[in-house]
Amino acid sequence: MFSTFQRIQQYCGFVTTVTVLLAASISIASLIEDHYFINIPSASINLQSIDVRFGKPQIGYNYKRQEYALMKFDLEADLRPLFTWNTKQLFVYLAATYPGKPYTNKVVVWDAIIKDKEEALISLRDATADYAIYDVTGKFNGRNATLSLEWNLQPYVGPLLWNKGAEREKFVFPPLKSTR
Amino acid sequence: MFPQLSGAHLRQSLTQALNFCLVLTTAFMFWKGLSVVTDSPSPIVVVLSGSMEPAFQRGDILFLWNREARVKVGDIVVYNVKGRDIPIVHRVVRNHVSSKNQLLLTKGDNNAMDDVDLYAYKQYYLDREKEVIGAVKGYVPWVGYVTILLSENLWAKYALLAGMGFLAMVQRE
Repeated sequence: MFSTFQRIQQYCGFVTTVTVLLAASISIASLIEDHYFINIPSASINLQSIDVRFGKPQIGYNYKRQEYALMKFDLEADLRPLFTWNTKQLFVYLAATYPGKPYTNKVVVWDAIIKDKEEALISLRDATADYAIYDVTGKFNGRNATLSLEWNLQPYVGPLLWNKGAEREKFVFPPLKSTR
Repeated sequence: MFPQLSGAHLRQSLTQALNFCLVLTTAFMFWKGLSVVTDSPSPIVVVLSGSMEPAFQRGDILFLWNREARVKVGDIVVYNVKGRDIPIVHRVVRNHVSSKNQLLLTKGDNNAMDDVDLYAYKQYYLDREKEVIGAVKGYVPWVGYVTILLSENLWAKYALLAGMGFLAMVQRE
């Protein structure tokens, strides 16, 4: 009953049990905190300009020549309340949603990874979008669209959490600027 | 060292073998049960590449959920491209939803380019029904690194098997 091997076995079993229970309680605590205690941070998006061009939306042999849209925007957001004891990183992104037949479409135009609380105060002026928008059909046809700020909170242990910012900005795809 | 084939020793060895089988089958039942509940062929995956850093490192464990008919932009999904065995864990950056299907474009956070190069030839989007095996809902760091060591390091596999064999022979309960 008291051999070294037995002791090691019992110790390992105990450590495993405690670790699992700890991970489970952290997960539950994170869920409760997210649901009841975190307020939705404030944000404001301002679309400076949007161009629709024709060509390859991104460098790479796999892209077809089609209409694509490039944007410039201002973004102000204070995401510091989201940085809790269990936050490993915050993946923030700006997504454009627009309708179509038969698809409703949503495209990420800009993203950022925030690792510290200090970086969570975003203040961007005249930023260019990381990604061009291109449609499945290859054309925009002046559709309406909405730009929204969303984020994904990645914990150290536990559930991943997603949320939308309260802020949306509406815009319209302008006609094709130049055919090259 | 070796069990004698007589009476009590034989029964003891058979009981040991039976217990071992029970442990294996219970683990398998648990795994398959979880597969059914999450509707995913592989409900727990280990992160194999660094393409989602700094969110996920190699050896992290992800819990998947596949009962959402439509995944959202920003979700992290695990998918299998037709013809390749290794599942890829990346984030959805584009989403085209119709009443019939959902087309997705994915990209690893740590990659400069999106995943079009990883898809099959002439494939520009993933189909949510056919290729996505789940969306990541939960996360535990580091615990899966053992499996990576075992699958990539042949020496580690032999060491583990030798250790288990040694323990099985030394133990008598």
